[in-house]
Amino acid sequence: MASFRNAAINIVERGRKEGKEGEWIDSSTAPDIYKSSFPSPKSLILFQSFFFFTFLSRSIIQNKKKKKELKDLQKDPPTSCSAGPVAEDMFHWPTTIMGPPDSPYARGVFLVTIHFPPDYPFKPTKVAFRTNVFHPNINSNGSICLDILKEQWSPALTISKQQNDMG
Amino acid sequence: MKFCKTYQQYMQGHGHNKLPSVGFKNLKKIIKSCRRASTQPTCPDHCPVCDGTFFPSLLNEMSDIVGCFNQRAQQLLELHLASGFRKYFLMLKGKLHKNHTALIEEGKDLVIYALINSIAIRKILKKYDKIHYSKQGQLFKSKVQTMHKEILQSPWLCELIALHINLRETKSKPREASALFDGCYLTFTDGKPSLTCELFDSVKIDIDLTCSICLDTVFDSVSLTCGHIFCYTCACSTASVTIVDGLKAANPKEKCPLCREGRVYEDAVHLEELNILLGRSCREYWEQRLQMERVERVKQVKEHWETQCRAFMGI
Repeated sequence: MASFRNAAINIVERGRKEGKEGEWIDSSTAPDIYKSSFPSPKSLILFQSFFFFTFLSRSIIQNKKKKKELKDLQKDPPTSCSAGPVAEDMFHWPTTIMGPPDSPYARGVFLVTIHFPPDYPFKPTKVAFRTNVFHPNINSNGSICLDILKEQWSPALTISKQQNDMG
Repeated sequence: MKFCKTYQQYMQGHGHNKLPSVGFKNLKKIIKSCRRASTQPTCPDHCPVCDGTFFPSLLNEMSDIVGCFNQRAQQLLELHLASGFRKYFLMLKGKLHKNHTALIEEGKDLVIYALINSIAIRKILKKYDKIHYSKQGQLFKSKVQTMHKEILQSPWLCELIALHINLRETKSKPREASALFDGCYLTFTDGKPSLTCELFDSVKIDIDLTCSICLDTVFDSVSLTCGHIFCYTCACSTASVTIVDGLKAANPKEKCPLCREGRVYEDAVHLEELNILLGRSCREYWEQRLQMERVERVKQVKEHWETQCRAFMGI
């Protein structure tokens, strides 16, 4: 566990040194906040937004005639993120996630793409970061290391269930 | 009145049926003998009295109860759902002598039997944990659930509740409920259906009828051996089999989408009574889904026969 923590701290330190202009809204304040705390895999709102999209898209793709779930979610959307399909393509959603306050990612704006396979929800969505993120669970290509996005995927996963899995 | 007495009275009242039950007195004696045998105030992790007598005897009783309940429920549902030649055959065998009210009564008795036994098991395990200051009872309960010996997991319970509502709503006049039974009903909360069944004033079970795959009311419902209910097409898609092949053809490695338990598809139960109930309760939705499913099934059948023909022709 200690070795993992050290490796993660190294990643964050490297990120602090290599942080490029344009990845932060206010690049002058970013490094101090970045330095302040060690990011836990939960510190990104990515996961919350991912749950939201999974749930939302299912209501659109699976039940074209019934959009009860969509209406419910539109009433109470998750904070700090926005998403929607590209034109008429319901299977490809570009997403913007704001870095959570009181975390190393505060004031950051991260672009994420979510791709729904045609046989969704029986196959997992492909989620990838387009913005460079220095995080122990996200690699240089933006791929996310999360079991429920790979071999532990289940078609029954919804927002709350996935959040419990993350816990 | 203490539950133990209520339970014994209920079981004695149904003595003519010779239904298996939880041996409350016997199990209490075992717990007491364990307390006498151990010098320590708490029972050790591997107690020969408990591990060798209490849990095995309770497990045997649970197996008998579940087995008996499933068998009787199946027979009852078979009588009700029989049609055509099957009905004629059962009439010849003399099995179909029961009238409508007798079916309702037997269905109700079986539901009460299932619920009262599940309470009895819960109570005795709570008592065990209380006396031993342990969580062995809870662990045993979860172990039993994985072995599918938990009566509330039985798909036939859901079917019986649906049968009870179906029979009650179709022909019979409302009758006085027994002292134990507060009745079964289909409830809709925020448009989501669930089967509710009440025993006494406090004990209540809710069976959610929303398919957690398509997030809609279950259509052509099927219950996996772990007790989770899904739409038939959703279950087939999850198990990576076609509707034509059916769930029996599913790979044993395929897991339940909710509990991730393996080997749950091959003995899945089609919930016919539940389908009748939901078909009557949500007509518009049912018609809509029926049309959508028909298209999907025709498509899958066509694909299936095309592949069969290709294989036969050697293409």
